[in-house]
This record gives sequence, C-alpha cells and structure tokens, in this order.
Amino acid sequence: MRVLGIETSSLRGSVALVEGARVVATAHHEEPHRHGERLLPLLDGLLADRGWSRSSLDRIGVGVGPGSFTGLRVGIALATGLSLGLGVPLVGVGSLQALAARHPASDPRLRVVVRDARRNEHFVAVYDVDGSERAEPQAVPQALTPERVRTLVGDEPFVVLGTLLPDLPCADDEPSRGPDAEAVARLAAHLAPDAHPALPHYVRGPNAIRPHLPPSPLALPRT
Amino acid sequence: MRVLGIETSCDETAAAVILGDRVLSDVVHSQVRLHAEYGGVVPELASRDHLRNVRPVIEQALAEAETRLEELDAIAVTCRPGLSGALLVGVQVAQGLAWAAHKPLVGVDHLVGHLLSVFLRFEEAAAPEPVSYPYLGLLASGGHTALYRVDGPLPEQIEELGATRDDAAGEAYDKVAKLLGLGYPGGPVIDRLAREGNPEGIPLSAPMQRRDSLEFSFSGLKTNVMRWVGEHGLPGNDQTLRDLCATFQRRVVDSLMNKALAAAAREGLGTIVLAGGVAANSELRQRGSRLAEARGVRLVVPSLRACTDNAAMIAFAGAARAARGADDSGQLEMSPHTILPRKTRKGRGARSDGQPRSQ
Repeated sequence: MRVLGIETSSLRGSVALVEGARVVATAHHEEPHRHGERLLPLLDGLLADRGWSRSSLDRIGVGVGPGSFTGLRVGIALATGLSLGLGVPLVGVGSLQALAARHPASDPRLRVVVRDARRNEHFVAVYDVDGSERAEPQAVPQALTPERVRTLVGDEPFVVLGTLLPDLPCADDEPSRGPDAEAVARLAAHLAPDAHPALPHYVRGPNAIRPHLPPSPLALPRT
Repeated sequence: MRVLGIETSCDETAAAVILGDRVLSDVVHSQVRLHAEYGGVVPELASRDHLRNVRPVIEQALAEAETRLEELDAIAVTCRPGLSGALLVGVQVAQGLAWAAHKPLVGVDHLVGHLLSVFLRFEEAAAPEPVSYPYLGLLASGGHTALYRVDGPLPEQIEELGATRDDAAGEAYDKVAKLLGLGYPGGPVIDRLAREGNPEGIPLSAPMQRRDSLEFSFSGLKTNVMRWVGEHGLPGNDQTLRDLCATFQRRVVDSLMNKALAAAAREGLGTIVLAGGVAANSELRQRGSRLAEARGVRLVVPSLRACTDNAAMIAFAGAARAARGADDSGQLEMSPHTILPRKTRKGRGARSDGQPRSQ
C-alpha cells in the first residue's frame, strides 16, 4: 500500500511517501505561513523523483494536532481535497503520537510528548511503547515540573520527547524538529479511516466570548 | 462548461455544479445559527465549521448534480475577499481536488460572483430576466456596498464607481438590530417589522445626499438611531419599534437607489442589477423597481436564492475565466481584499473632490 503523509501542525511542513514498511521519500519546508503554497510542489517533486503517478496513491494520512490552528486547517483541508479527488481513504493521525512513534522501540519507557503550545502552555500527551495512548493530548502550564509529569505517568519510568525540559529525562533527538509526515504516513497505514477521521484536535476552545446582548422586545407581548 | 464551485469566504460553506448558466446543484450550509449568539460572525468559529462541513457539502453538490469529477471542465473557488481563515479551507480543498483530478483551478473574486449571479438559472426559481452587458451592478451585502459598471464577466471588465466610506448596508442592519435587541442577522427581522411601520415616523436624516457623489455612508444613520434610542429609550414590542425600523429601512433603500440611479445616468446605462444579501430586502426589491421605473431605468431583481451567498455564482464567474484558458493551479493567491480596484477610500478625512487618491 502506498501512503502519502502530510504534517502541518508546526512551522515545519512536511510530506512523505511510504510503501509497506519502507519510507520511500520525504520533503519538508520551514518557511513561515507558507504550508498552503509549498506542500503541493514538494509532493510533485517527490512523485516525479520516484516515478509514481498521482493516482497510484492508496491512502492519505494527515497530522491532526494539537498544534497551530491555521497550520492544521491547511494540512487537513488539502488532504481532504486530495482524498476526494483521488477517491482514496483519509486517516487522521495525532501529531504528538507521530512524534512518539519516531522514538526507538528498544526504549521500554513511557513516552511523554511535550510541544510548545504558546500562551505559556505546553501540549502534553503520554504513549506506551507500542504507541497506544496513556494520556490524551492536553494543554498544561509551561512550568512542567517532575511532579506534574508524575500525575500523568504514575510511578513508571518515562522519557520526555519533543522538548528539552530541565530536571526531566529527555531524549536527545532533535527536539525542535517536531512531528513529521514520515511517522504520520507510517501510522496511517495501520489505522482504520472510520475510527480516525481527519478532524483537527484543537485541544483548546475557540476563545470566543458571548456578548451581553439586549433582550429582544419581540419576546414581549405586542403593545 | 461544467464547473464545480466552492465558497467558504464568510459564514456559508457552499458548493455547486453548473453547466453553462444552468445550476445543476446548489448546496449551502449556513452558519448563521452558530454565530447568532455572538451578535456577528466569529472568525475562529467560522473556520472550524467550514473544515467540518466542506467535504460533505462538496460530495452532496456532486451527487445532486449527478456529476463525476472526471466530467468537470474546471474547479472554481472563492479566493478573495473574505476572512483569511475561512477562505483557506475552501482554497486548500480546491487545490487538492484539482491536483488530484487533473483539472484546471480558477480563483474567483466573491464580489464578481455576486455581480454575475443574475445570469444563473436555478432549478426551483423562476427563469432569470434576460440581461446583457453593460449594466450597473448595485452590490449590497453584510460586508460590501458598492456600485459597479459591468462590461463583461471578467474582473478586468468590472469597474467600481463608488462604494461605502464606512459600514456596508447589511452591516448597518446588523448593528441597528443588535442595538434594538432584535438579534443577528438584522436584515430579515427589520424588513419584517418595517412592513408594519411608518417610513417617515421617526426623524432620521438621509445619509450622503450630495447628488454628485456616488459614495455611500451608513454609519451616521446607525449613530442617528443610537442617539434617538438614547433620548427616547429602547422601544418595546410596539408601533414605535416598527416606525423606527421602517424609517431606517426607507433611508437605506433610498440611499442605495438614489446613488444607483445617479450612477446609471452618469454612465448612460439603462439597466441596474441588484446583487448581494441586502438585495433580498423586500422594500429594496419593490420600491426600488418603482423608483427605477419612474426614471426610465430597468431594475433587475435576481431570485432570492441568487442574492445570498452561494457557490453557483462562484462556479459561473470561474467558468468565464476558465473558458478563456485561465488556470491558477500552483499560483492561487488568497486575499482579504477584492481584486476590483477601489475608487472610494474607506475611513475618515477629507477627499479630493471625489477623485481617487493617487496613494
């Protein structure tokens, strides 16, 4: 099965082609606010390099966050159009889960994935070594103490991925790299599309405040 | 040409398939109820809702038109003007769809779509009156109010003659309705109450009466209503409320029609075409026709379906560009602003006698 992965939850946007267990090709860009313009040309380049046709793709996986609201919408909307146009299934993959999946399977510790969420908060989620979710993505205050992490993982040994935090065991992979399309595509190959729709995992509400509107005169009897 | 149109510029997620001027399907998912409790469109809520609904809306439009993607000649999408976060949903879906299906992609200016909606043949509506270029377009909606000389279906054939300096007409309706506690959107409820009121019942002054200016202003009229309410108190469910709505509406309709008739006379145009959500207003449709007739001008009033936001008009405007070989694949630019050059400068300050500013 040929899977196209798309990941746009952070400033870094990436696309990847995966066939079976093999990562065939990946490309990324780091130009701010340009996911919408950069992704399709990157994808065109990958397909041309490998001699794959557009219609040879069997499935699309897209990172659904949490992350930048606009970034997520660009990636998911593009993936939706591609899925509709190619007539292939679309699978939503958690962006933090994709980040956890990059960690070597030989490490038996729980994966605590931490990403900057702006507004002095972090997005945090916890995964088992086999990738199953222990604690769903949530936004927590940026001062992430060992005690706070312990409330999520209990007494089990853990490793922090995605961000370097003081006083915590952090994996020494490129923490700034963020989630990428390669892991999204690999995970998408094994997830059921119906159970994993491509809907953004915002975690946060829309932050819209209901105004105090005057009561309607039409609610009163006519005088 | 058979064209799929996609529209997500504000608070309607819409998709439609047209064949020539025939509307084969016209699907609109409105977000009005979602925004009502906030008293206006909340951009973040709009973006979220577009993303949830865009796929089923497109699938429904294709199914109702009994059209397969392979049969399309082009895909058209609104790429300006509008809310950035809302526009990008439609634009990205359209880009992915066009790329995957190997179809030309054309970007459409939402305002051009409105100005051409008079040509659309909707299934359930009466056949449109025959209209030929050139005509004067009076576009009035919640976001835009302007007069255009329309010489053809392409953006470069459409010229703005004058626009509002501040609030759009529909925006004034929404703000007055909010002030009076009538909820959002304001147009339909004020229109309904106005029918039972005296249109000269409340002393509100007419905006921008200078005969030589083709510009509108509705913020003063809105303030006028606010001041009146400040002096006399909020009306209850009574005749005063109806008189206030009727007078406000009369001032808006007369301002729109006076300027449109002046523009038509100046340009030597015998036809005025209504467009935009405010064109659904019953007084504008009826009184407007009488005022135009008295001046020997024909007022063309499109069906209600054609006036409000829809994707059929986007498909139609896109078809005109696609038929001339346009393809924006890989270079589609979004913008919150219209592509039509603006003559009227928005905001405060002196104008140099109606001439466009050089900077």
